[in-house]
Amino acid sequence: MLFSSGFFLTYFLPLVIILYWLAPKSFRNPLLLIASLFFYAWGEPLFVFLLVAVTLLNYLLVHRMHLSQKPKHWLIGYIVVNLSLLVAFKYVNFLVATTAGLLGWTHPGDDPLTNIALPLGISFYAFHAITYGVDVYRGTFAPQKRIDQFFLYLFLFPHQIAGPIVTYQHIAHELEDRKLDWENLTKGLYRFCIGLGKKVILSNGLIALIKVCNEQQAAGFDSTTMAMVEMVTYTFHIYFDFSGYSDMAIGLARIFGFHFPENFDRPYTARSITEFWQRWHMSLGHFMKHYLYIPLGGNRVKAGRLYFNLFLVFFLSGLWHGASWNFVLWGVYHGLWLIIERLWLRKVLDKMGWTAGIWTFIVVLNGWVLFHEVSFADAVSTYTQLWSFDFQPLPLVDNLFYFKALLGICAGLIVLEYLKPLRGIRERWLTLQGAAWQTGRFAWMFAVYLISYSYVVAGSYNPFIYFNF
Amino acid sequence: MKKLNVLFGIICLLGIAAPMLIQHGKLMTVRGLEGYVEPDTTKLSYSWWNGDLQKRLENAATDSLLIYPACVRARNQFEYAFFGKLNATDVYAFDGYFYRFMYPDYNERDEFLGETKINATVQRLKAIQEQTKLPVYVVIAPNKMRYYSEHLPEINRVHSDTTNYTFYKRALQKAGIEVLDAHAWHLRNKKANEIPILAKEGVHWTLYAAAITMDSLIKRLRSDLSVDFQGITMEVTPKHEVYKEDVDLANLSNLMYRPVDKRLRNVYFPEPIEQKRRMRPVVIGDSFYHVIEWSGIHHQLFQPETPFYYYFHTRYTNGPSMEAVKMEILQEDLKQADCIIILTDIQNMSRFGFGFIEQYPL
Repeated sequence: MLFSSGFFLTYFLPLVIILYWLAPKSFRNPLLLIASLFFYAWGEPLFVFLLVAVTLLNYLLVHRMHLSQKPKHWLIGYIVVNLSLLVAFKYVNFLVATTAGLLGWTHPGDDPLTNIALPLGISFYAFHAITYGVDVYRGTFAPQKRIDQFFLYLFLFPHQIAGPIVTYQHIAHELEDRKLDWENLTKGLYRFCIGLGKKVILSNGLIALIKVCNEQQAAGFDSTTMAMVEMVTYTFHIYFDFSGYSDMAIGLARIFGFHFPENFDRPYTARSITEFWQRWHMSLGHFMKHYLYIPLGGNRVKAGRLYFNLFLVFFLSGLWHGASWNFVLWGVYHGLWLIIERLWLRKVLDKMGWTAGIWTFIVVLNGWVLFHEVSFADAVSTYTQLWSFDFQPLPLVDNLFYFKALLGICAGLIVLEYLKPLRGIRERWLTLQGAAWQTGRFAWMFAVYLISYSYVVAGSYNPFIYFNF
Repeated sequence: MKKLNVLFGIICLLGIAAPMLIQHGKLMTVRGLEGYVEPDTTKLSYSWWNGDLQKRLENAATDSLLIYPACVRARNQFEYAFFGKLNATDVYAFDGYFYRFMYPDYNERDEFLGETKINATVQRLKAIQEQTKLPVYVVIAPNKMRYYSEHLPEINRVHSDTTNYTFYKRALQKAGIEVLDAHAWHLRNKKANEIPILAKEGVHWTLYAAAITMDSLIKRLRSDLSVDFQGITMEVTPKHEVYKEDVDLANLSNLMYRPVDKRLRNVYFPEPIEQKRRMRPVVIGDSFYHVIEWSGIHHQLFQPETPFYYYFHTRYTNGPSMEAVKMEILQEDLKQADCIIILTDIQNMSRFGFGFIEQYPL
């Protein structure tokens, strides 16, 4: 089930919220757990049983590790279990195809090994489980004794499908005891509505524009201009899509009294790639830093090892995003820029002031080509087009004004994030108290929800004039 | 402040639960949508384990909602108001005028078939006229893109006389085939017309325009065939009233606030006091004839069995039942006909006759 689906908005969310508010305190966690399991089973009716079994195993392994004299062995076992899950379902296809390619084998398309369906949210489940096990091993906290709370941490539906990656420590006290109040409800819903609007009004509109670009390219209107439009559109799309999803997740969690960490902090205003990664998918950055980079030695190693660590972290980060060489190359691309910045570029960027932001944006833009295209060959073709400087007028397409306006709104929103005075106004808008301000925010939320809900329910309804002839 | 939070919280709860409450409490009914086709769920089982049941429930949570039409209209109104975008295939709005088949790059001049082909088609039509011994009347319906060209973007305007319209008209007149150029006639009277010939929000001519055009055609037929055919008797409603088909594009766009031209009037066709012989032509036409086929004009002017060959791929007669075109039935129809009427919009002149002229065996 997706947050931006009709069933979720019409039935699941209102029912869960109302039941949650009506339920006695002791029933609230079990209710959320049942809702979360149902939420997962909706999309993965069979795989949910495997995930429940793995969660039970994880629970037992962590407790055994906590009591063991040799916890490291148990930790390795625990990590192997969770990574195996990830490898089996996410990477077997990729590994088989890559090995076959390297050895020159031709494998049949219907090979069961290359047709394993990727269960929803498996990458996020595995990372949540790993942070929990590692933190217990590190002694950050004692393992959760209550199995229902352990399950709730791993299955909590707001973060289940696409994060953010929430460490156990971050919400441990809220799993035990949290406030049920109107402020959490209204603020959570406000955040959820903003995320929903980003997703269904902006991001989905941009997908339509990308589709139009692809159709025009297939029809022979390929040029640097067209490739640039597609690249910029995808850059906005991925931001509004993912940050919208994160807003929805954070908002949903808040409705139920949880405070999730922020996942985005104006990433396209970053003035270096290093800063970009401190602002983009921050919960993944936190995971990579604390559960991979620092265990590898972090900054306290020799220069050569440091660069290798950075490269490895971004190689794995790319691979985590998807089982394809495109994602790996995207990770490596960012890793290499980080290394270059460490070597010399950062000093130059520091002197460039606001223009460093433009440079960083261009680097990020080019990186998204690897992320967006389905194959390496397609990415090479797009880069060739982009850098051929073959600027041609864009063809006229249906709904041109709509697409221009959409791109303009997205660009405007990013510029708003960049300009400090406007940021201040935004902050004030979100935090000012007083009946008038609260009513204004409420009206805005109501309008965004109404329009977004209409978009979700209306779907792709697009009648044809001759339906009745 | 706390009281305000509680108030907003309660409104929020009621707000997000509203669609569910409306659905199961059957609290309201919303006018249905134009052009709605139910999603096909026949291929889905009721199994939870393969996800089919979930898909059915997802459908139920969108398409089957009581407020589904309201949601579609709200989305459409939002996009039309802010972006001028209409969510109906091939329907575009410019300057408040709704068009079909236009933006982004349609221009009539690009459709020109060439003089040789046009002359050959006209000569063949003349031969059909001679063989069947039936007079052929070509009715050119008013074209919205030409009629309201001042509201079009420049790219869609026609600045050339090298078009199928001008060449066909000239060739037909030269060959002695009767042409009723309703487009030119209505365009000349554009300022004088109190009731619109083409509604801003419709794709076809209005029922009023169809009626006065058919009246003119009947007068010509009476004179040419020396038969006193039944003419048009119509009444116009004094106040603003809309005939549904006159604003078909606006209806199809499913907006909350449908833009409607206040000059529009509905026309009625009361039973004539004096009953005369009704005409029986063979009509080959596009959807402009549809406006006539389902209205009182058809009942008043034509015999019920009058066949209408829609785009020459479907044959309608005496109601909405239809059948595929068969040459032997066409020949039988022609034996009983008073004349042949080819009714076409200017944009459809790139396929003038819709295949009838090419396929009829000479």
